[in-house]
Amino acid sequence: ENGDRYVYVVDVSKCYGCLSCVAACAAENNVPVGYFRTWVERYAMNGRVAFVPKICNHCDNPSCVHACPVNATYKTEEGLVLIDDEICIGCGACIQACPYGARFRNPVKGTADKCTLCNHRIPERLPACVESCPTSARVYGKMSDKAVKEILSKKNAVVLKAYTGNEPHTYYVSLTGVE
Amino acid sequence: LVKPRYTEVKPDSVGRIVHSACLGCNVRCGIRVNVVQRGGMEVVERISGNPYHVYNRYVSKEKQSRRYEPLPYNTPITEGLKYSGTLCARGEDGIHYLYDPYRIIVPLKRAGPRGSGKFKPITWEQLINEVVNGGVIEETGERLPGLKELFAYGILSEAGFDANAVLSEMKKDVDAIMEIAKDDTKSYGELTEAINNFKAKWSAKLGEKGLKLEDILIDPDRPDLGTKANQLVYMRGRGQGHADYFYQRWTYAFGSVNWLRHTSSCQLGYYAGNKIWSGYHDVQADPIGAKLLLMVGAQMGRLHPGATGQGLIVERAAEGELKVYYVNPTAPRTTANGNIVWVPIRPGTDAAFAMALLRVMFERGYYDAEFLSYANTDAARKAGYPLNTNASWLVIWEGDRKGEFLKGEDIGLGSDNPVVYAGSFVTNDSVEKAEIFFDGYVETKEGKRRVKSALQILKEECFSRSVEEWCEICGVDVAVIYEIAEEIRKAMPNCGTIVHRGAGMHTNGEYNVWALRCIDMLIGNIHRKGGLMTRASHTNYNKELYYVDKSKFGEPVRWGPPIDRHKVAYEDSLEYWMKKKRGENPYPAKRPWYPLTPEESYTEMFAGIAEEYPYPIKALIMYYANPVLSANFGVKFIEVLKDTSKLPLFIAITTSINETFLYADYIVPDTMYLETGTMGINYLYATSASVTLAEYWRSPAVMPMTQLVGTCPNGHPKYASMWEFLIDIALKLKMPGYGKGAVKGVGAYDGQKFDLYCAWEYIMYVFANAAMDAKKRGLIPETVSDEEVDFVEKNYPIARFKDIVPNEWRYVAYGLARGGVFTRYEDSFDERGYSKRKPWTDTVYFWSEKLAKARNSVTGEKFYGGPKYLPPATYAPLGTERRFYGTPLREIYPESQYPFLVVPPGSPLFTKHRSMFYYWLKQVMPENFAVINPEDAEKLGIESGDVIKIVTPTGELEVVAAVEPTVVKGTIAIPVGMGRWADSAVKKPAYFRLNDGSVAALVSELPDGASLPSDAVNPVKQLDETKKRILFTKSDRRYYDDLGIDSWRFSGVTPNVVACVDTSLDNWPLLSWIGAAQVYFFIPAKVEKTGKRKKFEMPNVWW
Repeated sequence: ENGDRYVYVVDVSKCYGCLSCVAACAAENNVPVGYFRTWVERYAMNGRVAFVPKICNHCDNPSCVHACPVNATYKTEEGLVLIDDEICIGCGACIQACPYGARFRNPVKGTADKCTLCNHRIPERLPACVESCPTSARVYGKMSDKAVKEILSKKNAVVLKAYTGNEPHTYYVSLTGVE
Repeated sequence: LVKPRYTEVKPDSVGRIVHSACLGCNVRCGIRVNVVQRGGMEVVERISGNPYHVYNRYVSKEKQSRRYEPLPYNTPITEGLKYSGTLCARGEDGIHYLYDPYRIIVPLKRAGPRGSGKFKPITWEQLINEVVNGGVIEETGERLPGLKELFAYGILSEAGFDANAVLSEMKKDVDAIMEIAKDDTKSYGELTEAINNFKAKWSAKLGEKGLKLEDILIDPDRPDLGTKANQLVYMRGRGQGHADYFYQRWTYAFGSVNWLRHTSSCQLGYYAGNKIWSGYHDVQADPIGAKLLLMVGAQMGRLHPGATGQGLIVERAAEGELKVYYVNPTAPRTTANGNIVWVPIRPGTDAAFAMALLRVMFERGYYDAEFLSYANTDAARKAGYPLNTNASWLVIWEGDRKGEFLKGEDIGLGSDNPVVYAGSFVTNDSVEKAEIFFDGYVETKEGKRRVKSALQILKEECFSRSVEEWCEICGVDVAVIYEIAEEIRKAMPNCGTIVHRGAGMHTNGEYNVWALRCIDMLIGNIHRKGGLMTRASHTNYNKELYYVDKSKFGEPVRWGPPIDRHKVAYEDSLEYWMKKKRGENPYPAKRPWYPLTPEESYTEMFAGIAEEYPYPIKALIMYYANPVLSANFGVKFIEVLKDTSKLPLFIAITTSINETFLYADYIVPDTMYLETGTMGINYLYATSASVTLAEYWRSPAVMPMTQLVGTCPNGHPKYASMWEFLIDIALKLKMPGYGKGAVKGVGAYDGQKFDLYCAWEYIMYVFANAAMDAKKRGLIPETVSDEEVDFVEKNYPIARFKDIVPNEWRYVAYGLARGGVFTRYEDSFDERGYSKRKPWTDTVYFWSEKLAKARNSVTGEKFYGGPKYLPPATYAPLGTERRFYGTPLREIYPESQYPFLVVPPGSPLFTKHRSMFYYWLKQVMPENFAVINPEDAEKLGIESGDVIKIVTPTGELEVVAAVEPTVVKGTIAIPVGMGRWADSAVKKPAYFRLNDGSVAALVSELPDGASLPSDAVNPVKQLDETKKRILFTKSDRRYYDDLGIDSWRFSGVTPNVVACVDTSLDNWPLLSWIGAAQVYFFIPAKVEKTGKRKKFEMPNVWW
């Protein structure tokens, strides 16, 4: 089941909070100002600042998909969780159901919205956030891709909120010590 | 269930792609602009990185990590489009800059008293006519002078003279007067007689055709001040090629010496410091080849190579390829797996840190003694080094000539070369190597003198305090100094310093920078991989075929000191010598002179205008600047801007009416960088990704949204902009270098002449020059394929002007397709790791005779000629002491009274006050705050969210506190880039109060709201409705459809308004002593609670 699907890897040590990904995503996906398909959280500890980029975790067991009353949100064979704008009624159930806060109601479109991993760009082009990052803090690909394998094998990768049972597929490396 | 209507947000077309360059900051990254159709209109949809550009570096599915290299330059464009490059958020958000509702699109004229905020639209023809011939403010009856009155060249020509024949002879006569002035054998009487003779001669000559001497000269009694053309000042804020060369050429064509830049607010302390030790102003460590970097006062994501290019430093560190010591009062933005180490430091004490480290390096022998011992350049080069140091040169250490080099002639060697000790005293050119540490006596013609080698002086300076004592001053942990020294030992010579504003923009900034650069000189990293390098070279873009260089095109002869007295010594002025000859003490001068600064100063320009020193100013054209907000205590400049007697004509060229331009008489609407803006070509700053040649090419992504104001005689459209304004003024005044056949051909076009009627002509000549030079260098191929040319012709607006350079167009297209010309890092060094660039200088200095001979203009005391820790202080002592620097600021503002120092750090986000329209950044950081260390906050009982009052010597500021362990104790950081109050609309500031009554009154007089006619502003209205809602989702419709006030535009605070002034110089904004750099990072302060609380708009504190 967990075959060759898309995954996303964030290297927290490389992120220096320049927000390139946020602006690139906003422009690429026409995300309204004040709403985020990707965002970057900032943590300040003693003598240390850490930025943690966030996106939709493209879960294998996505609670948002279960919550949608009209089957507008769905999972692809390649592991992406997507929304069909033509079907979505903008009820907000999925927004409530996502444990990562990755969804929002798009006030311009009138539908639920979230990261698509730039489904319209891949695999020929990189997702906008991955492409723009000046430090390679974000890497994406299929599980079998060299770029992904290299990072996941070398570094201690974790997922967020594994306890939810959502089986997220956005991995974080160098997250240790960030509270 | 009713399905609500779903709105499609995608554009109507895939659109065009243009490779150009960014101007979100001054770094000059490459951009790929995607222009689409929306609602029948071209819209910039997306801006991403240009993979050919050395700063952006290419990225692809296969190359996701270690993004270190750009695409090879010869990659065909169709292939290149498959790749992309990285880009920072500001670059991407250039869209909100282009689509800024506050942009001015037609010319405006003042319609009330200065500063009333009242303007009315006028036609382009009226603008040009009134600026040239003079105008009247109808509402107040004020008469404004025209530039014609100052255009001495035109006045002479019109009277029938050969203007340049007159001016060059006049200048020769002035030079002769100066010879007499400087001649000790000539008396005051002889000098005044020479001046009187000059006046008589020229009054007679000019009188033959009905002119008087005062029609031409500012002051016939002071002919050294130059012609009346000098009374026109051209000052630019942000500059970039090719605009910079274009208006420098214009200013020279007018005949004025006053072509000024904003550099005092930029990085002038860093520049002036570097210029002294290295002969070049911009020098940094190569971040690509370094194993270790000391980033001192260099904010992450702030300086060159910018938020985009610095990504390489962060990634290399995170990958374990590079260690960085981040010496700064604020924490780095990531530890990069422990490889970026924060070294907290007290502001203004960088030289003390350097002295501590240098002392350990001396003690442990961590220096390249072999390199340092070469006494001259030839010997060093023969041994394989690119240059030598003057470590061994002997400095006279007593008597009147203390600080000067001992010369051969002083000891009877009949040469003016410096003397070194190599077993005996010899001139430096007569030996290869000499002692680097020497302290002894030598018999000179003037008697026995103590002399020391330059390196000996530095060593003694380092040993004047213990490491512990140095650390006591700078607040750095002693153990860290030893740790860094050991890391240097391991990495040398592939390591170096990256020094920037935090070290340089202090009163003692030049000494700080120099002290830090001694670390580099000791390890011998100069001009080599991982070590210090300057800028890459660029193509011959000004004179390969079409001569468009800034001078030698027949411009009027000019002379005289600039109004800010940069690059000129008081001791070279007629004023000084007249006082001397009258037997008076020439000191103090009315304002300081800055012979050793490489560039210009905001404060000194305004002080010069206010004091009419060295002469009165009649007109100021200011472009792309906002000194009122961007200089420390720049609010003081409002006094000058408001005063029509001191500044009779003030013309602003700008995209919006900011805090400074609110006082303008005329507003010339400008284009931004995605239109014509600063189109053209320019160099990259140090180290330019360390390649041998790099330059960006900027051409429009879309045609301008400002008013179409005409068509040039050759059929090209003219849009309201800086470019067309200056060209049309020049044409009307008949300035040399403009119009029919005004551009001469050179090289293959020798003898031909070309027209200059519009911006397109100028800029196409520039591109053609660059392309043909790049072809000569083998970078652009002899045969350019059709697909390259087709790509540009289908995608680039500038292609419609290819008729201007038909023969060169194919080659131009090749460069335009790649957004510039770049060589590769791999080809940049020889097998020994030295740069293949020509060494930028022959000798670098541990001691500077030039500095040691320069004098403080108030006390007349000579500066200390070497690196040294000196406390931040005023320019001149407040008491009766006579010293080359003033009273320490901590004596005037003791810690007991002002326990804190406020610093304004930059970041990858907002690097300057021109940041308020970046709504994709504002949405994350809508406001700024005062960051306080938790230990300090606890003592004061302050929590995050408390509104605090920061009281400084000049006023007070209310700001919300953010308590975080990311700033060193005793320092408060207020992230820079906010606190605006005027930007076409005006929102009266309520966050600060000033002690200076007259400046406070000017602030309280500010208008409130907006009073511009709605058809004069806002190019956004016409945008497709959906796009408007996406770009301005959170804003009231009145903001983007009219000129409503949007809170994000005027949010936050700037500490500049309550920054430090120099009480020894009439309370003008505090400057560095040598460079005249604005001092931003030393604001003594105390903190009081207000009892008020503020809820952060965002849940997390983000900066």
